[in-house]
Amino acid sequence: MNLSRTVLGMTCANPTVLASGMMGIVAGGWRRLATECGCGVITTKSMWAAEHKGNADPVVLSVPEYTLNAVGLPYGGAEVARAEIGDYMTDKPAPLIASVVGLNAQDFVDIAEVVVPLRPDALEVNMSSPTFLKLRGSFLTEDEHEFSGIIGAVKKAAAGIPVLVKLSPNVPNIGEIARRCVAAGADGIVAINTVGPGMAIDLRSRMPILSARKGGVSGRAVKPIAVRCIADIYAATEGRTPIIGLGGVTTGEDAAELMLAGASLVGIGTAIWERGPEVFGLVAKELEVWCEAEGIKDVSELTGGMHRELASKGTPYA
Amino acid sequence: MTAIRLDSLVPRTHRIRDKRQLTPQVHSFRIEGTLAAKAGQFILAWVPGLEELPLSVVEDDGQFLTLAFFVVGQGTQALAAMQDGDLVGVRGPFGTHFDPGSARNVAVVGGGFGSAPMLNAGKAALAAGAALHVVLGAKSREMLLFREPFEALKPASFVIATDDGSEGHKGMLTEPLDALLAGGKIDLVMACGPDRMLSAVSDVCHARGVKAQLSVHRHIKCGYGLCGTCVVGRQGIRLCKEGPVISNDLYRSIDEVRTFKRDGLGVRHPF
Repeated sequence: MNLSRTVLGMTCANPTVLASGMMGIVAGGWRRLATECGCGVITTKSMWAAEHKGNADPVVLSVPEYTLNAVGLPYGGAEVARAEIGDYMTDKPAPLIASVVGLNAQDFVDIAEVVVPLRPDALEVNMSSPTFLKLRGSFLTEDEHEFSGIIGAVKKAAAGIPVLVKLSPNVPNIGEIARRCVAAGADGIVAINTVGPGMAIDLRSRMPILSARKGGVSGRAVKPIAVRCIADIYAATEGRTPIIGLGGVTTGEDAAELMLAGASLVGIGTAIWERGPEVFGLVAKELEVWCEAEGIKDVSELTGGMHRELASKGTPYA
Repeated sequence: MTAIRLDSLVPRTHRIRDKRQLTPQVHSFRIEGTLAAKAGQFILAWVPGLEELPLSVVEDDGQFLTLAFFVVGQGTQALAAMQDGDLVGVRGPFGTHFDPGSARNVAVVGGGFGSAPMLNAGKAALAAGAALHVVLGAKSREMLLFREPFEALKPASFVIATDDGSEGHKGMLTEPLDALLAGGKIDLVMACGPDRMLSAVSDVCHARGVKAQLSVHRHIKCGYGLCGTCVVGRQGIRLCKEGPVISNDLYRSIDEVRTFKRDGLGVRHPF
């Protein structure tokens, strides 16, 4: 059966995507994942135009049940973006989504102007890092005027490169926010970012363990939230906007589930810890085996499958 | 009596004891318990409310864990100021380890603070039935680390090198190492130390055709192989998972380990 897809002009051998923030800073990491680990599409670490210090360590806590992180979006700025993307583009083993971040429209435009000339296959506008709560008290998606302005400005700077928006699940209305992002010009939606925020306390010292105290929750435990959010977004955008779905994907069946909810491509991040960097190829293989057993000839048939099933019964999702 | 288990995926604080200053910039302390760490593995030590930083495991004898650190910044200064009874968090052990395998004559090479994990490496070699040869280097004699504990292992040979000649051979430890390898007996070198020293040790071992395992240090952040901060080379090697101990063959195939280091933000800093 066919696992390959072309979404927003990106053709990939299988629908797995590296989630932003995981092994995503340097070209060597991207290259390893794309050439040896079966990763279909690479998403870079979220990049700032200027140097941005992240949080002091500890920034990540991983146990089998979940991962908690408050890395704080550290980045070396334009010089790192140019060096790493430039290096990767010499052979570009898989499509590259350049994830960009900022605190306001100008910040986003500044970094977009650095990366666009390097010709990534898409831009991912990070509107949903929990670090925003620390840096400005709220997500960027809480003010429609603000996020529409950012999307519009990035679209202009993108000069035709597709612009995706990454959304947080920690809102009461993710479907509606997605719809408004699309109305503002977004070509695709990436969902979900981390859940929470959450926290961990050390018993003897009685101190929060993460230096930022609170952090985003990811890993297997968040999959049901991802599935529901993707379904909300698919319904709100009438299935017309490509969705990169992620959140707790560890196996091929998890990937199939997120696709049935509405994802065209499926992101993987935290599962690298449990299954290694090879998780992408493993998930792709498991997805292929499952599809073949079910008589599914092309993986794209899965996208939105739940919505069609509900509609066929006269009980649409929304 | 069952030993207290200190190994953990997330930081747990423990009361430190036996805090000592070993050299002008190196301190150590102990925690009751065991990590079941292998030689060369590292832990991440947490100073609650301040910072987390990688520390070398000096000894893990089943009853006490001994950790050492080199004072270089805020976090290590805070650790240096700690007293017995204070709480330090520990998670680990992480990373790959020195493995004597079936080697018969192992040379353990420590430069400066790089000697910290090498006492354990020496013990691992002896436990595997190999004869132990020690090559210890430092800027000057008061910077030599663990000279007496190494001597107590009764190595088959022991060479010291100091940059200023205040003890042993004057100059880099690669010179006496090369002489040792020229003897033809050594079949494995295990080394840890500053980047320049490691690069020179790599060359000497390669030229003499002797296998080597090198402990390469870069900025570590998550320790789980997730964040990508410690990734080196076109091969995308994660030093917290596929390192810090790597074979000389792998070391020599990663251009950047000999030319630049990245900081925590991904910026390259040439040597």
